Amino acid sequence: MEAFASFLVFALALLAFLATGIPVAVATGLIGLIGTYLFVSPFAVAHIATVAFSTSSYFILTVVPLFIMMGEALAVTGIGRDLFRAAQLWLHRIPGSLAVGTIFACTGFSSVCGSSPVTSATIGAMAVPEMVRHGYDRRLALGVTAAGGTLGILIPPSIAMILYGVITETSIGDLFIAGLLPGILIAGLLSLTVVALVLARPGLAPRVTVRAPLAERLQSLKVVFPVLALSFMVLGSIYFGVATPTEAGAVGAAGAFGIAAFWGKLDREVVGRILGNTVRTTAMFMLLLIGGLFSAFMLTRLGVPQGMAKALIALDLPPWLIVILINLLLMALGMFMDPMSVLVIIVPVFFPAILAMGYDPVWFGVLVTINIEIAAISPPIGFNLFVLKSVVPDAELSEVINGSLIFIVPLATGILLLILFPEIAVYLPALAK
Amino acid sequence: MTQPGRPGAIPAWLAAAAGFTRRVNAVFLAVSGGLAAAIMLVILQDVVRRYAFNDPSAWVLDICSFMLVYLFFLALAPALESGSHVSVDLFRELVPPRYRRAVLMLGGALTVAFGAILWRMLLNDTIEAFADDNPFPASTIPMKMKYIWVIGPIGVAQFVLTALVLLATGVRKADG
Repeated sequence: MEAFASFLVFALALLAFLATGIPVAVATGLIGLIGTYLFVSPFAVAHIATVAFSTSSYFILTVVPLFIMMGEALAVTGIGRDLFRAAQLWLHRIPGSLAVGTIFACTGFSSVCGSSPVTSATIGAMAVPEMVRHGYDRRLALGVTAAGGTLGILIPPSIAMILYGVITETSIGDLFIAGLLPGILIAGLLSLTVVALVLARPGLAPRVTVRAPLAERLQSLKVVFPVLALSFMVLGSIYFGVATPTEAGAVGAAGAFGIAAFWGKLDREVVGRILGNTVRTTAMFMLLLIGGLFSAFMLTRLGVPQGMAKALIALDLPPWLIVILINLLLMALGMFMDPMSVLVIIVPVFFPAILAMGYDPVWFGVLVTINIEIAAISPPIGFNLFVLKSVVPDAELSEVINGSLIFIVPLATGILLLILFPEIAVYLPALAK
Repeated sequence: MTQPGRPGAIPAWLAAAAGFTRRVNAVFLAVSGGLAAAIMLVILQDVVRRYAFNDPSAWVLDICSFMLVYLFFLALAPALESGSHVSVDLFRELVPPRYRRAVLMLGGALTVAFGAILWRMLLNDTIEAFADDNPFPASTIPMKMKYIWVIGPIGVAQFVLTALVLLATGVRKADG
């Protein structure tokens, strides 16, 4: 129980620091520094420089700016609008077709973008006004876009999975491949939720009759084809072992710039914006990683993760129940912290227990990613909620929150299905080997 | 900018410091962005050489790692300036209004303290790297470690300066 008490003290100290509004990375770094100074050794504080230098020179992390750049470059091309238009033309017979189309557009964009807020912003800025214009319930329009945006971190490439892979030393390529089927599953569950909601209350989404000839529908696919081809090339090269994730990221980023240039969307200012956003997000990501790794160093030196693993196993509960309890904790924390912070704080603590119980680290990675998807739409700190509020100026935060809550159900269902059928995640990586 | 002499006014020295920090951050951001593009191009040329000419470049891994160090430390302060580092506003909103200024100052001071400690530790390692004059370990490029590590204290010093300016301007605005 000493490990649990230490973890509780760590969590309370973290909350106290976060209450001052400082960046999460600074909070975890400071707690690591104070804890190391007081409980490990004053000299061990110097280890933070080693963590900072070794993390920032870790070659595998070059994949981070590359995939961020790919998403940022494609976001300026207007591909979100084209994906949405294509989905609208092909799915018009389905109840709530525009909302289902939004999920399909998010799914398509997620396959070239590893960030959930970027996916929400890119699709949401165009899809929400379009749905509202067609008489859709505002809460449904906002909620489905916030939920669809979360696919950005599950469908590869995924920044969250890179973070998980670095923290747990799990193959990022395997994680990317493992996220594919669960991503499609979650997209399907989100779509089913929309259909069920609209069938139960048709007033939520009036039927939109888009009578487009086949030629126009095929034309809509032609516009999205380059992006889908890029996505297939990036993911296919990783899956078939032709390229490493870093190489695939570089090709993807260059391809995204190529598409943007071909469509005449690039000028000096736009390139500057893409690169500026890329490095700022990379810096945020890496400082978060450094702070998380240093606090994990302190906790490990104090034996907290090891003690937690032992205590959890000694609980005399079935392993699946322990996994569910860990998931519930992740969901609870996700309500108050941003998804990436939950990942860097919680994963190092519980990962040894997961390994000790014999679970597959790749499977757990996918599970954690779906959990932080829930965190992204859980009030009061759901990142996607704020992103949508900012890109849809007249949206009320309460509308976004109310619309998003129902979509926690399909995400939680996805977690349950993944616990019951781990093959959904581990089948493709096993096949690739 | 607020005029001097009024409540919440930003004094000239602070305006000058803020302007200096902003300009340095703009330069750092531009260089860092250039490095991101360079990483992409270097890896891309390796992919082409490897698959088209069966002639991979052995130095790609090292040069990209070095560029990543510069990219990160140069972008650290601009990310702080733009508010890109994630924080949790919810708890701050729960603080009673009369304590918000104190909490703001505490948060700013903690960020400065973290940056200062990190700067000191990085500086120690960098000074050591200059004294040892060793090449970067296990590198295919004959690069001295000191030339890579030196950006650490520079980037974090700018991070501390940016945090100080944000703290000072934030407090002034809160006073106004």
